[in-house]
Amino acid sequence: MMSYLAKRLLQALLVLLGVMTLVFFLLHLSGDPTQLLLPMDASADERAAFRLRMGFNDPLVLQYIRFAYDVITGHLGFSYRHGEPAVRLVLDHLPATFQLTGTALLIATGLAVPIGVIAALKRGSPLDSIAMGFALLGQAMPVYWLGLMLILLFSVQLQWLPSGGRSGLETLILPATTLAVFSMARIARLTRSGMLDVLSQDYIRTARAVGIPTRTVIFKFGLRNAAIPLVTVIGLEFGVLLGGAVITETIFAWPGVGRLAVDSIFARDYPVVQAVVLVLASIFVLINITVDVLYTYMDPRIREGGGFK
Amino acid sequence: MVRFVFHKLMACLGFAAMVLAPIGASAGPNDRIVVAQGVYPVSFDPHRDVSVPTLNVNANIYDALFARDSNLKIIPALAESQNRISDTVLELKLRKNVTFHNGDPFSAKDVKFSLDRVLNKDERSPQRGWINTISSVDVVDDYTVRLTTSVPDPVLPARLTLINIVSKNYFDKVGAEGIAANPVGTGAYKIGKWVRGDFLDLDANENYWGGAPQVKKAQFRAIPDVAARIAALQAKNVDIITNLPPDYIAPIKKASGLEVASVPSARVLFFGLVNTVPGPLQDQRVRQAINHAVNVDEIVKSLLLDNGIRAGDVNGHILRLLGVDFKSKLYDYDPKKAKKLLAEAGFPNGFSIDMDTPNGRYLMDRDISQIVAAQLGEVGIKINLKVHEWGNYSQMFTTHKVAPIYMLGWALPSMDPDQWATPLFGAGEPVSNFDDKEIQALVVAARQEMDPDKRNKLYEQLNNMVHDKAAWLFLHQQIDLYGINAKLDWKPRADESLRLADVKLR
Repeated sequence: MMSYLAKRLLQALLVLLGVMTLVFFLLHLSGDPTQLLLPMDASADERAAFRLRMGFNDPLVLQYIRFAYDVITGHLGFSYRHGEPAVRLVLDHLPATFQLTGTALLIATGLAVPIGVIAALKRGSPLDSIAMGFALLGQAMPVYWLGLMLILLFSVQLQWLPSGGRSGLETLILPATTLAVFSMARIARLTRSGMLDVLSQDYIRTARAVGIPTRTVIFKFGLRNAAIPLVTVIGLEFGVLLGGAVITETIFAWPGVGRLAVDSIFARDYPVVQAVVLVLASIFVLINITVDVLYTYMDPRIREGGGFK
Repeated sequence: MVRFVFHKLMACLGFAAMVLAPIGASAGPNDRIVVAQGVYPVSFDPHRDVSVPTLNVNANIYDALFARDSNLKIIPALAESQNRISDTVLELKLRKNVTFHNGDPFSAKDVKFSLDRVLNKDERSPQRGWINTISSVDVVDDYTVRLTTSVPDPVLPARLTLINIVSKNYFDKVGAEGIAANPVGTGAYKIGKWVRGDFLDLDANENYWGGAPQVKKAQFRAIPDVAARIAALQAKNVDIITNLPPDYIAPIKKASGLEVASVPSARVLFFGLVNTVPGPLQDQRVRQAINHAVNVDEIVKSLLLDNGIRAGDVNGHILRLLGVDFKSKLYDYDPKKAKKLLAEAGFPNGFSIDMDTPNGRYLMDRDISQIVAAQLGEVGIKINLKVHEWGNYSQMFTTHKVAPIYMLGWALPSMDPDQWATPLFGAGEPVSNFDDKEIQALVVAARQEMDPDKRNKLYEQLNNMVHDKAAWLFLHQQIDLYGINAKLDWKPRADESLRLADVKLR
C-alpha cells in the first residue's frame, strides 16, 4: 500500500512538472504583457524601460529557469498587475471556489443519487421517464442561461435572493444550484445505469430469494456496488467543477479562482495564471489519488487483487 | 422501499424550503449606495495600475495635488495654489491642516515621496509616463514644493490630477504590500471591509478637508457579466451600474425607480488609416474617399441607438468638453464623390485591403467594423476583416503591426488634449501609424505652448489639418450610459470618474 502511494505521488510530481512547463511556454507564446500593463500613451522609451525592469527581455529559457526556481521554492512570483505574491492571490480566491463547488457537488449528489435509484427501481415507468427527462434537460441547459434565468426569477421578480456576490449563505444558493444542475444530470444517469446493472446480477436475485428485506438488498448489496464507479465520477466531477465554475462565477460575481484566472489571462498576468493552473492541477491530482485510495475501502477485490501491494 | 426513498426526498426538499423561506429581499439600506463596475479594482496601492475601475475606487480614498470638477475644470486639491516660476519650474503651495485617515499630518514630504516613487524606474509604476517630464521634486518648506521639468510642460497640472498622494510615514511603516492591503489616504472615504474580487466597503471621512460627504456608506462591487449587472440593478441590489449597453435603455427607463444617466465621453472611435507603409492609403484622396463612403450617421443611429456624437478630428471633442467653442468639420456621406476621388487617385475599380478590429473592447466594435467593411465594399474597396482579442490586439497596434485600416478608441484620464495628439500623431510614438511632418510640428508646438488660449488655437489648427488630410476614418465620440436608482441625485462625468462625494440622496 505504501509503495503504491509513493509510486502515485511520484507520478503526480511528474504530471505537475509537465503542467508547469506546458503552461509556462503556452502563456509566453501568447505575447508581451507590457502593452496591457502600461497606459496606452506610454512612449517607446517608457515601454523599453518597463520591459527591461520586468525581465521580459531575457531569453525565454532563462525566464523559465527563474520560474521553475520560484515554483520549487514555493512562492510562484509576483503578479504583474497587483504587485502582490501570485500565490496569495490564488489562496485568497480559493475558499470561495471550494465553497461553491463543494456545495454544488453536495446538492448534485444528494439529489441525483436518490433520483437515479428511483429511476432504476421504477425502470420504464412514468417516474423513470420524468427523472431521466429532467436529467437530459439539466445537461442540455447552458449554465449561462440557467444562471440568468434564476437571477431573473429569484432576484429580480421574487426578490428572495441576492443576484450575486458572496456575503452569506443566501448568496450561495443560486450559484451552487446553477453549478449543481449540470453535474446532477450526469450523476443521476450514471446511478441509474449502475443500479440497473447491479440489480440484474445473480447475487441480488439470490439475496431477494432468501428473503433479505428489500431495503437491505437495495442499499447494502445494490447501491454499495453501484457506488464504486460513482465515486470515480464524483471525484472527477469535483475537478471538472473547479475548472468549470468560471461561467457561474462570472454571472454571479462570485469571487472565485476561475474568475481570477480569466481576468489574469486577458491581462496577460502570467505569474497569476501559472499559479492558478499549478494549484488547480495539484488539487486535481490529489483528488485522483484520494479516489483511488477510496476504492480499496469500497471494493475488497482491488485490495486483494494485488493493486496496492 | 419507494416510500422510504420518497420520505427521504421530501425531507430534503423540506430542508431546502426551510433554508430558502426566511430570506427576504436584500436591497441596500437608504443611507448606503452600491456601485457595480465590470471589474474589481486591481490594487489599492494608488501607483500600481492605470485602469479606469481602479482609478475610480482610489480617487475616493486618496487625493491628488489637483482634481477636475464636474465641468472638468482643473481645481486645487492637495495643492492650494500654483505659481509658475519659469516655463520649467512650477511651485505649489500645499493645503494645511489636512490629515491622512490614520491621523498622519499631510505635508510636502508626502508629495515628494509619492512623486519620486512613481518616477523611480525600479518601482515599475505604470504611471511613470504620465509625469516623466518632471526632473526633480524639491521641498521648499513643509507646505511648498517645487517641480522642475526637463521641458516646458503645460500639461503637468492635468497629469498631476492622476497621481495620488500617499503618507510617507505610513508607507515607511507598512511598505507597498501594506498600503495595498490597508490603504490610507486623505480622500473623502476611508476603506472599510473588503473581499478581494468581490466588494469593497467605504465609510465617509467625516474630517475631510472638502467637507464630509453626504453618502455615509458606499460599496464598490464587481459584476463582470453585463446582463447580471443589469439584473442586480433591477433587483435593487445595486444603485449605480457602469457600461450600460444601449439596448437596455428602454427596459430600465420603463422599470419603476430606475433611471438612465448619460454623458458624452472623452472616448473617440476611429479607424486609423496607415500611411507609413506603401499602398493606396498614402494618397490623401483615397483616405478622403473612405470618409465619404461610410455613413457614420446611420451607424450611430441604428447600431448605437443615437448614443454617439459624430467626430471629425483628433481632440475637437475634448476641446468642447473643456468648454472651448470649436466646431469640428465633418465629411458628408457621398458614395459618388468617394468613387470619383478613388478614380482620380488611380483606383477606378477600387482595391483590396486588410482591416483589423478588436472584439468586445468598445461598444459594438466588431459590428461597426462589419458595417464599415460592407459600405467600403460598395465603392469598390474590398475589405478583408480580421477580428482580434484585445490583449493580442493591443500588442499589434502598439508595435506598428496592424493592418492598414484598424479600429481604435482613445480616452485617457488626464483629459488634456495633448493626450490625444501626441500619442496618436507624434513622431516615433508607439501607437502612431500616421507620419506627417506638418501634423507632427503642430503637435509639438501645442504641447510646449504655455499660454492656454494660444494652445487651444494650435489644437484647432491641428484638428482641421488632421481632418483635411483624412488621417483617420472618423467615427464618433461615445456616450457613456449608466443605470441608476432614482433615489440618487447624480450626474455622471465625461472622464468616467465616479466620485462618491458628488452623489446626493434625494
